[in-house]
Amino acid sequence: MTKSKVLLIGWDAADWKIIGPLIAKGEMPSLKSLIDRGVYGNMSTMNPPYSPMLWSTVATGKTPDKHGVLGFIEILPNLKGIRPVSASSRKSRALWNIFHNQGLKSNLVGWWPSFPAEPIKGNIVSDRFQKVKKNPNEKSPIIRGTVHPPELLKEISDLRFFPWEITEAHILPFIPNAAGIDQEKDQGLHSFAKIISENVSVHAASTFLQREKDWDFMAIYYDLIDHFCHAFMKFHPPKQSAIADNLYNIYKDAVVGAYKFQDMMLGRTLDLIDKENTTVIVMSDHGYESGNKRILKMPKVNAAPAMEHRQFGIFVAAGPNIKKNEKVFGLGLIDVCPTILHMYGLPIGKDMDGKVALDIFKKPLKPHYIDSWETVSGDFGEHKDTKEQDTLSDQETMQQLIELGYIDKPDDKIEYAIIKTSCDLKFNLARVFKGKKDFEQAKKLLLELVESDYPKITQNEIDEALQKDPNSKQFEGFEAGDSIVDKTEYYVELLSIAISEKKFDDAEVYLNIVKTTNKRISINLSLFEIKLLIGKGKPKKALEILNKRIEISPKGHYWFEAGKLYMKFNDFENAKKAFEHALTFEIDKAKYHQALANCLVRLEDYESATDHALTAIELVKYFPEAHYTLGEALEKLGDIENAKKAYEMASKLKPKTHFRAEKAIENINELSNNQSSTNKNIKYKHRKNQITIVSGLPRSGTSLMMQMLHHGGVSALTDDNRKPDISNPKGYFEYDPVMSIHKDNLWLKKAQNKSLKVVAPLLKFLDPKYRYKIVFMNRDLGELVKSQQKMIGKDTQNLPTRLFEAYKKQLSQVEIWANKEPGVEIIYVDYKNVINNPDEEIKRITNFLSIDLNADLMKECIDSSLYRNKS
Amino acid sequence: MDDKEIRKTNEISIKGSLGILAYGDLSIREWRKIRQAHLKNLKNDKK
Repeated sequence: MTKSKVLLIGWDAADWKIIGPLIAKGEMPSLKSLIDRGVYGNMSTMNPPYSPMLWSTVATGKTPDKHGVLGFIEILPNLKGIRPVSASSRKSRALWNIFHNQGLKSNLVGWWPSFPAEPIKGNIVSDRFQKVKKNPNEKSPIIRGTVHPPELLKEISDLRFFPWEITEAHILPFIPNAAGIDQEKDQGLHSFAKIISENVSVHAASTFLQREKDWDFMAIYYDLIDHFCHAFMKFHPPKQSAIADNLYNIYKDAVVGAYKFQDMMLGRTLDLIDKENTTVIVMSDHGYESGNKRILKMPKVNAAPAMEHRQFGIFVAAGPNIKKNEKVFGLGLIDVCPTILHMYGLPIGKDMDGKVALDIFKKPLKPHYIDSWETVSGDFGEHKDTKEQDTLSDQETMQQLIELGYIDKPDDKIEYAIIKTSCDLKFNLARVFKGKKDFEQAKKLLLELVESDYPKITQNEIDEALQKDPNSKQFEGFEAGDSIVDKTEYYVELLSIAISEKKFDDAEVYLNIVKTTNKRISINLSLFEIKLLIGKGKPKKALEILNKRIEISPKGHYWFEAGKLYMKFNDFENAKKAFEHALTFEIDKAKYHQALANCLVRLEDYESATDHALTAIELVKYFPEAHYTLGEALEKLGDIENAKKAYEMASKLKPKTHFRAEKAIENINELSNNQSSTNKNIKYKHRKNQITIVSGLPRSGTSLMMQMLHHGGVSALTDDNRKPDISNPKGYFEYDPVMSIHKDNLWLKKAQNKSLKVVAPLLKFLDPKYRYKIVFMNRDLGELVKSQQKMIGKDTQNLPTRLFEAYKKQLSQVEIWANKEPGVEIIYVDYKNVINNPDEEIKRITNFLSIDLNADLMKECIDSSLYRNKS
Repeated sequence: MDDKEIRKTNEISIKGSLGILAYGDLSIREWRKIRQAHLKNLKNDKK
């Protein structure tokens, strides 16, 4: 029987934004051929988006807190220095270890990190193989541990390509105007030669292994696109104003050239496979900013160049059991390892964070599981002694990481380098926990980081560094007396977590600390300030600041936040404009499309709302809110069947129950049952555990209605803390926790099958988990304001007009809110009618609540003598 | 270094110099052989 194989090809930083137009022009034919016979989609990255962490996640199916690769560098096991991360940094078993245990052979080339090569069945050409010195006069020996088995070295050592072998004919397709480069000042060609030669080495080793060595699984990793992007993306069209014309003209084709060359290499790789039995996966770990979010001047933060990494990379798969030319959604890096194990019929470890991407298969099989591959005994082809490492080869890798800007040049003082590395790793781990929404673990680490004491920089050290190298950047931005570790970023993360957790007092404290310490790295705090103001109940002030920011420097996320605020104010026209502006900055941002769709539903433009909700879903399938909004728009358009499907998807996707979607589905089902039922006049039905809410503006008769319902048979949830008085001699029927419902609504459970008084502005804080029947009291606004003025001992002749306007607005907001909440049913009851036509109103309320109320007892509550402030 | 020359001596279909690199191990080895011979000839010519 022919064996099924999987070939996994990693293209670091490959992005659909560049690939899409190239495929359309026929300039990436090899990738196009894979897409035509397979599936394609976005690959979602993780935070922080640092490649060694991400590729280790691909290999293990686990997040970095579990696999242990936490950055670009790490501290030596003897604690006496630092080194680049290595295969020994990984604490979890990778795919090739599992395959080894299962008797399968793997070929691995260039994987980051894979040095020192592990003793698996098959062959490993580790990520140190391609690392060579730039200078032809310097030797670049291949060190022990670079390849496995060691005898492979003889066969492939001549396949390393060197920068000095690059000729004009290689350069010109990427840089047609290379002759115009002033090589004295511009190191662009040096970077170019190094990147190309290293990737050619990886490719040559991989084609050799493909041809010469038997394998079941093969993985090849190329950093060509990533490194080209770091070196040349700033010159990629459209031209950025800060880029000089001559440099733009020289380097503008470099990035596209890298993609095309990568595709040429893919062509050869695909020629060498047995198509009928091999599943090919081409993927990237993240995307790369190529538009207006490119950063020209990197801030001085940890691994700053990674700030240009985009959330979505690429995923393409083709093979015998893979669907044909279909887009797939919702893939994450953590899903790759379980999916590949599944392709071999192997069980998935329950301790893996990802899932099998069943959507990609023509005939999906049910995955099976084991608790963990880590606890399975036997030979996994792992290193016995993990301390073995060659420091000479580390230096070359370290140098490259420095040149790419991923790490700062380590301090000459080794103890400082160790402290800083230790902090970086802890900080990265905190960000991993934050990404997993494990805020407690993240805060614990961040607090440790901010509470630690670090050595202080002395003037002597600064002078010495500058004496050694007048251009030294070692202490750039630091002054004598500053700590060697800048804590600003740690506080920024604490601030961000506090805002996510709605702990706005803590957030304010952190914001003030960052403001005072934010000297060196200059982080833009505007968005935090705005979110804090919103959290502290000052949305108008927040909008004012946002509008100023937009005037100075318009950005997509500012417009987006402004749009959200306009939505809060029910100013849908301005919200629409703001979201449309946001989309002009980032047309492929799913959350902007979703926000606009939601806004368009409120504006009753259901067709356009459907379009934008669908676009949001197209971009990110796992977006329950977008499915819900799509459901709302389709329901309004009368496409009930598809609306129901959209609600069902929203309900299915939500990590927590999507109560609104569930209720919307119930409503649709009821509607269709009613239509098929003989009694089509049933408008209201009694809901299990329904909460009866009495609401209205102050002095609209809410206390009277509470009293009526209580006596009529729906007992009131009240604490009687507010005693009867002259204004309400029969009592207020209030419940104190209602006043802080915006902070805590857990107690609402107690209100099930009872009646509860909630003033109009607080209705929006009702938990969508429950079903509500709202009896909303209306009263002539003139009467109402007069009654209020009297209650607080103010002039009843000259009524404040501003109050009228504010109340009108509140009433309209209630209507908008009730209209969009599927769990809410509302009737409006006029206070005057209750007094004048009690029988009729009681009947209407009874029908609405679908409860057998005692009309006589309800009527007894009405004392028309208390109707004192008539208009 | 002449691509045509390589194509003549190499049975592999290659699109230009980048094609040689993209083709992988076989063509790189071939390219090196020819390049070294070419450089050697140049050196001899100078002599």
